[in-house]
Amino acid sequence: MKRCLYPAIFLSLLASFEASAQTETYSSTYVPAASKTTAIVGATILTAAGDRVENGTIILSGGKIASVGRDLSIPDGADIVDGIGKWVTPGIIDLHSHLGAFSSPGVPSMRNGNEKTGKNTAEVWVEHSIWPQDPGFEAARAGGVTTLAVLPGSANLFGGRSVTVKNVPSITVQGMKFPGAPYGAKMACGENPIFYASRGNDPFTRMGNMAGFRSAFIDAQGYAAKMKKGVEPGQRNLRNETLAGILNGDIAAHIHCYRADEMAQMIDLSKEFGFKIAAFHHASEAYKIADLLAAENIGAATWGDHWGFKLEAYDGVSANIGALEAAGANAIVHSDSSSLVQRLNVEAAIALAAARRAGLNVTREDAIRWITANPAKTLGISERTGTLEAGKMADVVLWSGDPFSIYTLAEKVFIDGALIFDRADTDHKAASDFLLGQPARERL
Amino acid sequence: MLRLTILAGACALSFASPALARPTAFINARILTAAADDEIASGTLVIENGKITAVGANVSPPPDADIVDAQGKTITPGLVASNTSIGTVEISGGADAAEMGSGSNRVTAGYDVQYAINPYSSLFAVTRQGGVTRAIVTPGGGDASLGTRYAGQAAIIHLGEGPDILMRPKTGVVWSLGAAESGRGAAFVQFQEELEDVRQYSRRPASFRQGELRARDWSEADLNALVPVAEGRTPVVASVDRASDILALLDVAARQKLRLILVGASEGWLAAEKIAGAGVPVILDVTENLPSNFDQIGTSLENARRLHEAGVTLVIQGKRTGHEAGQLRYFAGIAVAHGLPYAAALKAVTVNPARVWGEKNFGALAVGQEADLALWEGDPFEPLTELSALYIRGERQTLRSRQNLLEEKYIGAEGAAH
Repeated sequence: MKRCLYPAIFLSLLASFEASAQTETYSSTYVPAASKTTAIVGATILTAAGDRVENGTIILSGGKIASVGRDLSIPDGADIVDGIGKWVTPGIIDLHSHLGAFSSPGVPSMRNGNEKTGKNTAEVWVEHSIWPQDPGFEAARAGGVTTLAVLPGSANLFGGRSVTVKNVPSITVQGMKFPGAPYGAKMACGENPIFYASRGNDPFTRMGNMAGFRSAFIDAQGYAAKMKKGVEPGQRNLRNETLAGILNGDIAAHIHCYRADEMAQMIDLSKEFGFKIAAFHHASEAYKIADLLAAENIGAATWGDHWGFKLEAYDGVSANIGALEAAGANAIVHSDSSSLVQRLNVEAAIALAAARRAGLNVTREDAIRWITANPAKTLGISERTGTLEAGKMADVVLWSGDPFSIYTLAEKVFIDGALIFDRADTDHKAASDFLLGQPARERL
Repeated sequence: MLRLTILAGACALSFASPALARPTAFINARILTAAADDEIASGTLVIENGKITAVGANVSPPPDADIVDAQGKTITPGLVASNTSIGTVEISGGADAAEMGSGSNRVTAGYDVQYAINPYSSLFAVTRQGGVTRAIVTPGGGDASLGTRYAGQAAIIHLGEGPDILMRPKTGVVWSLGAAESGRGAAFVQFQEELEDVRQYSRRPASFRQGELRARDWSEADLNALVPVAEGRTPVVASVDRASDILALLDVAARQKLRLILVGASEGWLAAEKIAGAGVPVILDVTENLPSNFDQIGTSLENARRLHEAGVTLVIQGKRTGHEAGQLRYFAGIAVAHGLPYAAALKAVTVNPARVWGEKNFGALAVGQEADLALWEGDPFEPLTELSALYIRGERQTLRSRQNLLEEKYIGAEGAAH
């Protein structure tokens, strides 16, 4: 009822997929792990695409979801998983992660998430910082997370390109990259660019932020015009390639922005230069402009209960997500944290409780979309993952119970149909090389 | 005359009434006392003059009591937030971040957090909504540039409305291994040398003015703060993670007869038997499971369970930031999800922190305890459970916060922000 399809974005994302496929370097080498046909039987299934299925069955075959429903016939030879008393949801998608970029251990040499050497570092790609051995990835897998958008930090106006990854064990980043997922770019308004750049550099003020954005896009417009004619090999400009990608719709704009008035300024910026904002991240005051965000079809990603860590987050309220949902906006619960990402289901539960407390009629069926289908839409991968519908990637979590209970844990996590995490089976708990053979962990 | 009140929903406007002479009896309540492991499936709890006067399955309300029919709701002790910055900063970044710690090398152990606490902080109402009734406010972890590992003295407050929230200042001195940049080979030597100075000062205060105290460049404020620590009257609250550091501290504490409380203790489970044997309590963030450095390689979500099974007294803390102090109940639930028994988790957020910090008068639902009560629609650790009412020292508290006013202004109760 509150879901909408956005054909315009969809087309542009498809177009970007084609464009990037032609020119893509550093391309994905992801190959789904071996999978068996699997039937989870008797579970409560939240598909993120409609009503729940009680006593339902989901069949995973060939890496895809074959069918979801009641009383399905199970293919011969399928692994049968008893789902009675358990719940099944799509794999969790975190729209805002720094895993691998700000890694554990957070020793100085691993602070690779933000090239904050200037106000505009659109030329950097966060995938070139990602360390696949970050133990945070496997901790997130144990929390049911199957896809992550890894973003650069927010200390500057343009932090660089983000990347969408499948949360699989891999030696290389290329082996995690979500095949064909559009690129994103990180922008940041408000306090961070001011605060971090204030040591003798600009921008010094919020108006300086806006001037910095506008000047950069004016440069990029010129570059985009050159790109159409063809840029000589020695004349390429990585910074402007990213910005031109934003302008021509190939690269999704992910904007770190807290205050309602600043989000409105950024919307005006997008209109001045004719680009589309995919989502505001953190968006503590999104509830003040929920209608505007719905009308502009801009996602808003925030937490369940995280506020006050700076002035622009002082008006953060827990009913934020509920207000967005009620207004028909694309509401997303994100983590921005190696700890919260392990419990995005709990974070969604906190938001669900707050929405109900505020008198909003919001259900578990709505809440599951905040951490699955909605971020998939924003990342341009919703045709392929984010819901439990036949034909989609079999990115699936089997939970020990109601995923909105504090006591519930992910028992099995499937990525493209392959059992990537199994709480009962240590073989499926791939340890990062960093934690391997550590005497302090021998008895764990 | 029996007066019957039925608790309204969590959003209802509540009010703080002065503690009246007339007793109040909560009947038909599921009561988790935190004094015993077993719950009272349906019982009565009576409060009068701010104290609990009766609790049990077969208690009859006094004839003059106001009766509150809990209708099966769950009553727990008010929760106790440990190791939190609540009240000291309104926003963490920028404006008053300096209030999180000393910033002066003249006042380190002597830094007294009681002066940083603002009773009119908007954070208190938000935190009450999480069922929290008391807090142990600690100063931040020190500043490497000051060259000291002492952050200062903690204070115990209650979260009731009004300006008089300070209950007991100088309730412990915080020391953090990671706060200064010199190595352990210096840190533990310095720690003991300093305590020797403090003892000398305690015996002969003139030794300070006569320049006989050499472990560091002392201020008298720091010496005075450490005298009760050296004498074992006030706990030293030591933030360490590595198992070897825990063992070193246990050893120093035993030899110097200190009251030690461990904070952090990521690798505590590796030393669980020895911690238990020393009777040293541990304050844990039970969500920690990723090593931020090489002191935390053994960090695990199993830490709480394993420490409990070894017999260690556990205190569960939430994140240090006061803005999230009201989320303490979820941390207790997360510990249960990873194997800590429910009753142990409840104690770890109620009676244990009270006792660990030397408070005997609150933390459990037992006769004689101050009447800090939280009434819940269901299991208090579940995010989908609402808090119905909160009493601090017998007074019902408002559960409206600044955030609720923002929600009402922009979202409204009709069901939409349209």
